[in-house]
Amino acid sequence: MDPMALLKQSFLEECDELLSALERCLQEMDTGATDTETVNAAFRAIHSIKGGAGAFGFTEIVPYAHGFEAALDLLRNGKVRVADAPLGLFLRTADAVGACVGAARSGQPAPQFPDLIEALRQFVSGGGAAAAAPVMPLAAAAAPEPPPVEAACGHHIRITPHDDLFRRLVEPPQILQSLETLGEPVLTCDVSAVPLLAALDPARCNLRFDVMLDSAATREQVEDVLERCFDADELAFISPAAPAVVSPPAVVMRGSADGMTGSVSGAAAATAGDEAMPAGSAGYEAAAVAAPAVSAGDSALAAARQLPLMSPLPDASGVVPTLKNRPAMVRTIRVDLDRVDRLMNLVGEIVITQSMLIDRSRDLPVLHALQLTEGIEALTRQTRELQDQVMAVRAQPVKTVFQRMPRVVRDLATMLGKQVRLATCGEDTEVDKTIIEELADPLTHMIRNALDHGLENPDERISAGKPVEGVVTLSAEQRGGRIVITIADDGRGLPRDKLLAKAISRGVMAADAKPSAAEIDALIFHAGLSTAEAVTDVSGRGVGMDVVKQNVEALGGRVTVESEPGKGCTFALSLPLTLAVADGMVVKVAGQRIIVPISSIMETLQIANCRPGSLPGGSEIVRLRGQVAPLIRLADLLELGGSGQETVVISAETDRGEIIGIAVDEILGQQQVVVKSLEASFGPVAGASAATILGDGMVALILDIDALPALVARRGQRPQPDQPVLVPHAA
Amino acid sequence: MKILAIDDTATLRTLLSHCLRDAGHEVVEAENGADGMAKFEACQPQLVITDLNMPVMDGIEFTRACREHPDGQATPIVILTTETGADLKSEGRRAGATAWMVKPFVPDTLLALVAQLDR
Amino acid sequence: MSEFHAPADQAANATMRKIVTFRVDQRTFGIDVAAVREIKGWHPATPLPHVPPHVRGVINLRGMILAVYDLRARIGLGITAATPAHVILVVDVHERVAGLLVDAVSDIIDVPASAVRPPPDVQTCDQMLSGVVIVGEEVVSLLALDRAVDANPLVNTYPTLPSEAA
Repeated sequence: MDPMALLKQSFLEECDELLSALERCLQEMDTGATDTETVNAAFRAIHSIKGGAGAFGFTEIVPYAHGFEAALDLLRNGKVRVADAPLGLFLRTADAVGACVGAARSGQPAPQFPDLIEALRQFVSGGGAAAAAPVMPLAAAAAPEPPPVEAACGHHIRITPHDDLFRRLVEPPQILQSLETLGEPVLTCDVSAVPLLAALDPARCNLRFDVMLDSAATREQVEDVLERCFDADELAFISPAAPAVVSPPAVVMRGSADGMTGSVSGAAAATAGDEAMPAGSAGYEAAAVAAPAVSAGDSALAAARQLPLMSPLPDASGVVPTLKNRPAMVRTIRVDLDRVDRLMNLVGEIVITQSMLIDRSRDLPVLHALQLTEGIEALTRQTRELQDQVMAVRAQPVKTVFQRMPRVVRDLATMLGKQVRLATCGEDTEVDKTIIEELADPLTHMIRNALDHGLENPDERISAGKPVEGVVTLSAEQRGGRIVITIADDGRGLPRDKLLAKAISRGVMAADAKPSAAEIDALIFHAGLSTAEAVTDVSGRGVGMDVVKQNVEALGGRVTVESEPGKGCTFALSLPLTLAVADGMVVKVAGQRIIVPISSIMETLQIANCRPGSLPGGSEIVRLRGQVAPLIRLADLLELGGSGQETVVISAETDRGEIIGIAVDEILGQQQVVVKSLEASFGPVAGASAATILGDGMVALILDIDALPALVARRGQRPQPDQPVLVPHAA
Repeated sequence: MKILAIDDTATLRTLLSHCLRDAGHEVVEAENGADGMAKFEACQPQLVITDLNMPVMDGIEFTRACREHPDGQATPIVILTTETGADLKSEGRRAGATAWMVKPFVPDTLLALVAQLDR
Repeated sequence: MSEFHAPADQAANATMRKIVTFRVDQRTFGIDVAAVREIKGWHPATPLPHVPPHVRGVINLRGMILAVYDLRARIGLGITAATPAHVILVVDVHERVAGLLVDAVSDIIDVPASAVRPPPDVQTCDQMLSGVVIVGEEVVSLLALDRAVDANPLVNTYPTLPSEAA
């Protein structure tokens, strides 16, 4: 790909980021943020999009961006209050820009939304009228400037520079030179305002210029050129009808700029040095070229000149902005995610190599092993830190997903005619980027469900004695090695009777089954049962909670539901913080090594010390932390052939807060393990969330603590049925 | 000539540099005014082209800071922006900007302006 | 193994198929060379819980987790008593890579595509075979790999073998 195409692509990527920043700002405004920083940030975002779109030739984006920018500028200048801003229009415009960006990326023709451009134009011109003067003209195409009055025969422009002309390093030869592209300029310099030498400040410009330009160019073209270096109020176009007055004491510069060497500062000094020049020549009082009062600002500037570099300067409003009260500079670079992934993989390999080294060192004579230990310990520490740092690079706050949801809620609530408030908390909880990316779809879907099926219509709510406004709460928190995201609504709860009826009619459940409420609620995750009674435009898109469940499980997570009729419904997603590395305890069960995630372990005990016993039904229990907990013999559960060698109980807590005792033969140690998906190479394995590679190259399963209670329950339901026993190998 | 190009939008900055380098100029990039000031001190460019709207330190603040810097009084500063508002432009002028150019820039026009300011 | 991946004479003679043949019990099976990534000696696998007996477990293939399927168990002849002499064929199946435990690799043969016949009896062979081809005295059963390396149990076992039928 050629560099320009790459740049364009990179710009379009940037547009996505800018649009998401823009949308975030708009959401903040929608929820009452009126601070100028929010408006400024929105303005900057659209401004950057506009600039880039123009520069890269994505002209179809420009009109929207331009109108949007102009509209935001009204807010920025306080001409329109943020509370009065047409946020709906703004959001739709952001979408339109997004659609254009998408079209540009895929090379499709850009979609057209002329109504948006018109609406923005009307907003801007209306707002501008209210504020006496439009702040910024709209797109030239939409609102063409009135045609120039002048005939194309020539121009007389009087340039009356502010006295800071030299400080700005604008030199009159440049003026001539820049006009040469349009025609032949004749420059006349009026030095009448230059004071006598004694009073002269060589840094101040007291000159005035008259330019006669013989050119077919329009006034606009001439303005275009001159306004690069001059303010509009420094320029005056003198109509051909008026007598062209050229003052007597004048220096005339004519011809090519090449001939005019030497700086104007020098020229000014020279003219000022000519004592014959009378100051304040008659007839030029109106010019007011020189003698501006030294403004307060100027003296402040003069004072500031003494200050060290980078000291804050007074701005126009007199407020001294300090670098301190500005947001701290965030120094960032953009890195291709693939590179971070490669880095992560490499760290994973190092972790494996390191455990291999530890394994091998055990085989060395003691003396040599001791010599190695120190190095290995340092390596372990450094590997751990390296890994934490790489993980930190990949970690992102869930905010990046959460912030898309207000928009979903807003749009959907409008469509459904419901009043909904979205409350979020724990937005700063960080989780691996891979997981963040996979979260958006399930969350969007569940929020849609909550609004569409969970929350009642306003009149239903009133008759149920609830506030008209429904509340959907989206929260995230870190629990152990997992992140738990909940989506709760205060609506009607799951329709248990309907779910059960459907399950029975589909043969998912026996007609005479007596399932518990929780079991009925869990049917929502069953394929084909989560469809609403009427397929709505909102969530009836054929994607049900079963798909959400699949997606979440593919990430090594699980989703659960709790519902209370009439009160509401809560879905909880529990996901690993990272997919890459975990801390594990290596245990031995029936000759196999298994990894138990440290994050779930509370303590380890000798089996004799936790008073094992059994319930009348035959299930074994232990006492852990003063309570009775089920005892799970891992060798049985994982079909490794009952070992009967268990000596240790690991007390662990599942993501639902259940405490279980896991009996194993022996604890071998702790180590970091690189999490390798079993899903990808085989499929889901009940009881194992993933696998890892140990130092000796063998694969070990990582125990799925959270799935154990359900697994035990399932085994209990069908006591040793067609148990698929692995036939012992003859060898 | 050695030119300092300041723009917070990475691609625009790259585009600008690309265009200037093509014309044989040496380009130093900075991503905002504060970064620009640091690079200015370090590199002593002969010309500065800066964006206006930038986080941390905007183009006008940069211009002001540059003009107050002992080495920054003789360096032309071009503000390259999409802004066309007279007030802002006037503020830029008061801060000491040499020229004001409206984006999207046409490379030839920009290079012509750069040539003009080259002395 | 690189010669396995040589472009072969496919272009020259599009009607020829290159087949890797291997033995399980007394029978000869074959799969297309293109599906074979590598051949490695048996390495003890870590067993997986709650899977049918023909899934032998997982091994580490250069940092990648590889599920190994026991072809002998798959066709209902009991679990292979694996020794270092046994062989794992690492094969591509759709998007996945899988290991197929067999007794030994025999040969690489070229067979005309026209010589491949449909499996004799779909009812009894399940969908494990994609076809058979007779090479000299020998019947080579061509495996339908996606069925061979599937964790789901077969609908029925393998009562009649093509070699016996032929």
